[in-house]
Amino acid sequence: MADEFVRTAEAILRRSPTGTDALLELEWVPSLDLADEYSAESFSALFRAQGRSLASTPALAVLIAHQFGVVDGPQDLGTTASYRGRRRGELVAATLSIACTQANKIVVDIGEDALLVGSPSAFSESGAQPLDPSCVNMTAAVSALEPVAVDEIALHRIQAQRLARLACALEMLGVCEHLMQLAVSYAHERRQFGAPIGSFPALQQLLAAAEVEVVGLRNSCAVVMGERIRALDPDPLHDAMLVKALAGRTTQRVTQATLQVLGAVGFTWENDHHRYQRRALTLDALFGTYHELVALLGAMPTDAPLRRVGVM
Amino acid sequence: MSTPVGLRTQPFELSDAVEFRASFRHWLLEHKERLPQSEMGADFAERLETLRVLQSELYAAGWARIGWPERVGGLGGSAVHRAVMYDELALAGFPTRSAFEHLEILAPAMLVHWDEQKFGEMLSLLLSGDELWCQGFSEPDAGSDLVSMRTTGTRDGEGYRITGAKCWTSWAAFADWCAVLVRTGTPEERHRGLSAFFVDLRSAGVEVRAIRQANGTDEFAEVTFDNVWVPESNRIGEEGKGWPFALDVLSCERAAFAWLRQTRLLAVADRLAAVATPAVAPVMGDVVLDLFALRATSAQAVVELADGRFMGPAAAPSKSLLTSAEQNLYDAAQLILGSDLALGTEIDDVGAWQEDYLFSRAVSIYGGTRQIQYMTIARFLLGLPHG
Repeated sequence: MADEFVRTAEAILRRSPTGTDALLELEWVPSLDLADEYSAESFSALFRAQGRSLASTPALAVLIAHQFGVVDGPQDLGTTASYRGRRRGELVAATLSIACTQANKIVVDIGEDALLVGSPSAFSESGAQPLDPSCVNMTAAVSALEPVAVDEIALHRIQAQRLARLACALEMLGVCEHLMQLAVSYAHERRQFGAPIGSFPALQQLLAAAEVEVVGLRNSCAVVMGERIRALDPDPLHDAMLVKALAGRTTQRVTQATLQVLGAVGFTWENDHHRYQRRALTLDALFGTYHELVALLGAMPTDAPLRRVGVM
Repeated sequence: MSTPVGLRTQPFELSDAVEFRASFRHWLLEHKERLPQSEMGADFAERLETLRVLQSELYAAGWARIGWPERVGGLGGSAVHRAVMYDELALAGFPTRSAFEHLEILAPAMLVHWDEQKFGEMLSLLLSGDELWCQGFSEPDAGSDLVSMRTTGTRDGEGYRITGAKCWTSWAAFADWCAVLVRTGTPEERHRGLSAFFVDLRSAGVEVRAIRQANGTDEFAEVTFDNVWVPESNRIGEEGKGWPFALDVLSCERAAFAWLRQTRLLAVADRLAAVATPAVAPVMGDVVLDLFALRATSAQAVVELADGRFMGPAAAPSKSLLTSAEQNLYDAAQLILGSDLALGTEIDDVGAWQEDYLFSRAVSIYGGTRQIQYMTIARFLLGLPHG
């Protein structure tokens, strides 16, 4: 069921890789309830499929903006930006959104109790280009943005961060799955020394080790997103932080292993691998990198051993 | 045996697992003071005896029978209930299940492949702590290439005569029964010529020699069978069908066992975190991620087993994740404890840390080496071509 969902979503996203058409066709709504099995599966399928296809829908941005009550659905586009600090009185915002240029509202979470919103015309490109070409860094003057009144902003922020981390982890899983597919396929086709390179033990061990990482991430995502395994871990706490950190580590390892098998070099245009690597690095940079999160996880208090792996 | 007070009388269902966790946790808390606890570093036989007593207490209170079908003497429920109990036992500070790990390695496959009545009789004696089992697969010249084993079984009246030697057999020196894989066909038949038997180690012709170990425990033994007679009723499955049984055992040893093992590793990670400094937080964080991925993946195996399915080749990632999680945990211990791990000048329970550290090095060998797991994944999960 879950695999079928992902394949369907992937097919739709490949037909319509940007914009809201794909989201409308998928009947995707940001007002989802992850406790509901269908909602959780469609959430997983969308972001995994986005990672596999490198589609650039505004789903993530809309999802976060919706948590703050700023937008209602894909037809009312919103996006968010992470606040990076003030410089000479000017707000510097690094946009998180993929396909943010289609947004009609950009929400900037500047921490504490403040949230600002403005139209895209209030922003200009900062000139610094993120690795993933579907992202863009933009800046805006504070005076050009309006404050948004949101009750209990801290609670909304926690929920937005949780969903964003889950979404990124799932998209990174999709990236890993696609890279494995590319590498395994190439290992069958590419012949050296008169044999397919996939028959060489050294490459088999490399790909098997990478597959172990992907299986670990896929099962971790499944636990966090519910399913029957919930009976074993009834009360996940900091699940999104765990799965986002794991996704960062996994993509780091899987992109390197598959780059090696594909002989992809990683910074030439001839192999698609570099596009997935750029997306993986960008996703890792959002909402806490692997290195930032792993340090937080390791410093957790010791009075609840299972809590570290998400069990109450 | 009557149904114990406080336990429900209707069969346990998967949906009960959350409630079940709470009730077992409550029971453990209420009875913790009188339940036997053994310290790491204590005499090995003494530790095993303590576990036997704990097992008999769990049986007397009815808990040990949960997770097994009523037709084989259980109270219903599934592998999920057993998994929850292992979690809670480790969380409450009880030590590793050691010899009783065969409830997760051998028993699920025996339930499927053997006569249910015979299995039920044997299972009750293991569940009650009265008897222990072991697994006789590896031989001196048959490790990763298990199919090349030489121990033979030949027909003799209503049974078989078994001759040969098994090596690196965990718990054999303490066990009463051994699930033995033997060749009843010709060597040319390879895996199709193998059969499995449940052999009484008290039979004439069986000799068990404990192997002295360098880590302070004597878990391993060498078992020789000299023309040992085994009744046909103790053959697990049909003659020549030992390999499918062995594959299901290996599936459990690689996947469901990984769940059992991670409960212990979580407790160890907790002890380690208590003495870790902020400077090593990223290392501890990576340990947490290893355990998280291991727990999620082995949980999948438990759920599959609860549905009556063995993982087959898909068990290999669980074992691979267990290997890296356990070895990385004890690498972290070496980093955090520093010279104390080797010298023992500062920490009181250094013996336990040393014993566990040395054990962790072998995780990439037992139950199928890391290289065998990777080969399995490459061939059967990724479909890579043969060399």
